[in-house]
Amino acid sequence: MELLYTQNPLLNMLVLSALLFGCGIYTIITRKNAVAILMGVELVLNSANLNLVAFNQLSVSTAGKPVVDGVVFTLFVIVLAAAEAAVALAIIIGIYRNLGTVDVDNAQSMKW
Amino acid sequence: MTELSGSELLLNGVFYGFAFLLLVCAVGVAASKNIIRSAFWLLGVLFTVSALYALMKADFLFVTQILVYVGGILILIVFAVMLTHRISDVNVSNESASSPIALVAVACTVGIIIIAVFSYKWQSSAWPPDIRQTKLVGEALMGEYILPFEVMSVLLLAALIAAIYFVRKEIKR
Repeated sequence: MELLYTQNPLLNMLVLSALLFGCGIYTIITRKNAVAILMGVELVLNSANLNLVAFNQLSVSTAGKPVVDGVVFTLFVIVLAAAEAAVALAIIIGIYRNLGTVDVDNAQSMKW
Repeated sequence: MTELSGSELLLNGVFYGFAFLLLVCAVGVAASKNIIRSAFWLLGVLFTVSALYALMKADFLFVTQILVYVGGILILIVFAVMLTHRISDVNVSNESASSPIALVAVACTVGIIIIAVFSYKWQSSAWPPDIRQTKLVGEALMGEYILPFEVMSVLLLAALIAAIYFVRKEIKR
């Protein structure tokens, strides 16, 4: 059974990112504060980034040239996370101005 | 267990140390009662993920993660917490509707992912090639990935305008 990091690194990294993904999902589904839900989304995005970089760096490449496709994909995910965090926090501040709270259980009416 | 050389032992120790730190910080984000403490646990998660990138020799991402995620997104989150927080209610500001059903559902999902990961023989090596990635990433962004790069800049412009529009102050005449 070869399960150490030096013997099977991709497996260890994928299991680690799966556990991080689970923590992120748990944060998303149990939190009431909207900013805390956003923190859970950041955890999920970081776990996906770990997967991308792990596949890029740790898999044995048969070609001679080094590839950076996974790293470029991760960069795009980081940029998208920044844009999404900015817009989501702007919406949360707007909700706070209108409702006085950022509890997601209170923001449930679609009326103007 | 077969004999491990000194460098293998060191790499194992460093990886498992950072992995344990990462899981502790992630559980801290999920289970903390105070939202400011959750934000600081998230800071720990982001720094530890950056350290794991450095362990895998992705040097450009190691720096970019700290600059953008910690220096941008986390600061933004802390600002938003400060702006939407009733200051009188410092103690319990991060209530969670925790139920055992949520824990079981998350455990099942993660279990399925881990079973899927274990069911394939991965061909991997713990010693990534010793190249500097910044030049290659720059060439890829300007060569093969120029279209997503330009689309990303348009998207950032749109997000900037949207965020400013949402938080502007209405001037009532």
